[in-house]
Amino acid sequence: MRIKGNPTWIAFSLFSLFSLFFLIAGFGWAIKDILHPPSEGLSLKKPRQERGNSTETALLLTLGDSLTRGTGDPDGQGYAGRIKESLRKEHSRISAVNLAVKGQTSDQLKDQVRQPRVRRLLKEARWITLTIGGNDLFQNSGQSETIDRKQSEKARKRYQKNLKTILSVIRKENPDTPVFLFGLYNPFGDLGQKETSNQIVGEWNRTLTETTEKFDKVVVIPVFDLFQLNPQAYLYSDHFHPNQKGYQRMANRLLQAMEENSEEVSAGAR
Amino acid sequence: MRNLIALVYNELLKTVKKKRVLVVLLIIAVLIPVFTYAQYRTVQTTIQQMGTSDWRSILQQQIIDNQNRLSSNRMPEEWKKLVRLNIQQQQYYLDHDINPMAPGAPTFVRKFTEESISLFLPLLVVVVAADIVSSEHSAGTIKLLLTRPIRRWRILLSKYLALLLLVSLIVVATAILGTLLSGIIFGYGGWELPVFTGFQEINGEMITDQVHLVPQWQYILMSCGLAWFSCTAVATLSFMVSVVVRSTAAGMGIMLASLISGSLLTQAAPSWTALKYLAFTNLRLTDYLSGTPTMIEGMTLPFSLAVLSIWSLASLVVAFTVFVKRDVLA
Repeated sequence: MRIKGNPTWIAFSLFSLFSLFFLIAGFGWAIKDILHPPSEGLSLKKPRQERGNSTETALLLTLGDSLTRGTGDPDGQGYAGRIKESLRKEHSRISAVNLAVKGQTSDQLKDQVRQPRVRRLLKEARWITLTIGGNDLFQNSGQSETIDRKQSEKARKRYQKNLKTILSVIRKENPDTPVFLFGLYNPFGDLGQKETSNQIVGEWNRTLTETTEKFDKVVVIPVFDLFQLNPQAYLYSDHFHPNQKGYQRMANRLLQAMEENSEEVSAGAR
Repeated sequence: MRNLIALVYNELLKTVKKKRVLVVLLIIAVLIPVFTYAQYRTVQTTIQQMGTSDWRSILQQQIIDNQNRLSSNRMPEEWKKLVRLNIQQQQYYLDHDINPMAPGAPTFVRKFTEESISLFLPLLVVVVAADIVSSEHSAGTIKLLLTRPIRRWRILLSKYLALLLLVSLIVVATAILGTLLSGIIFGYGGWELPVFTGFQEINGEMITDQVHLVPQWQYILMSCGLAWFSCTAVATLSFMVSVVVRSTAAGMGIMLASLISGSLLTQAAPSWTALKYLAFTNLRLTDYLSGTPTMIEGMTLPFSLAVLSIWSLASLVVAFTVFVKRDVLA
């Protein structure tokens, strides 16, 4: 038992003792801070002006609903992921932000684009793509079987107003960036009452096109025809969202429209 | 008093000589680089996927991803509530332009303490605590120890105090090694970085009235203090088991099993509220600091502290009674 006096052991013990006091102090401080938080509130410095990094990386901003999210695609990529990969081949530095929320309606998107953070991203974006309207259309018009014309008409008016607001906000934040808006398709084109459903989707698509005409550089990507003849082959098993092939077709369309556009953009201000 | 100090010192030396502490320190030193690298990989993958290292875009994306998780039908309601609160907290960081995950050794230590408080640190503590009494039985040295002209409760007390010192050592060593090793990759800056604390949850809403900023070094000090309390409670329970169960292996097994089931049960059955009276569901004290919502409803810091203290006191009573009364045979 006579190892006493070895300086290493004494240092070790003292260090342990010191640790104990140190931690008890930290513990006490934590208790005090949680139970009696300082009352002076938080003094925050103003959020500093952030520098845009658009000169270095090109930002692809995708907004909208589950179609932009990629629901139904086993890879989880959707058209947004595919576009990103294609753009990456051409542009060395590209960043992508996907702000789409499953089940989002135009009402919710209207609120989303007004958030300060989203506005900042809109400002930085080099391309903006969005899908919106599917949920407005099919939630408010009842289930596929029973289409309520009156309800649908009301929803369409509302959609028109929201879409106008959304595009105005985007244009206000960023007057130059091309905006690609996907049209709507009819997932129920092979079911009963297909005349009615086709007619309604057609009306909505006309509304969509008319609304965008008032804005500069807003490109409508029609997809109605893609799912018209053989919906089974391009729709996911939920019979509502596109599947892998469907998304690939959407992405191809979008890429065609983008190519023309990117030349124009590169010849312009950037 | 001098006598007691000598006894505690003696007990400390015994654990060091038995290399238990060394093993624990080695485990920490090996695992922290692994965690550091894991963290580094995660950050790199995110940057690569997003194509940007701008934390604001990444955080915004995380918020949206969380919102999308909410729309899943298969998610239990308790989880949804957690995710919803998480979103509100992330939005708060974003609105105030403060990066909750700024890279740096202090951020790593802060996150590591939060993650390790419920399982990793307690496991290390169990390794040391489980044999502090029972090894005397298995080695047969208990008889030598008890034949000294010192009362039994003083011997046990000296063992307990030595254990408290070792627990402190483990917590501090984790923080120090974590800083030193992760700093090699992340750099040593960020001690002054502001961190939010004081989030409160009332009926599924995040209350931000009392949110205030503390510098990161203070936050780390406070989390280490809370981790110390959790570990002490675990050590006390292991101490009792070590007295009652004379085999070190069995004692360690009992403690490990209860620790792991404690952390599993809360996740498996968050709606079973009686679980909150168990000691091992209350170990995550740092959650009250970071504002992470608790899985089981009705848990607050005073509540958790009370539960842990009651279990510890009960264990001490059992340990001392058993140790003083027990017949020590050959």
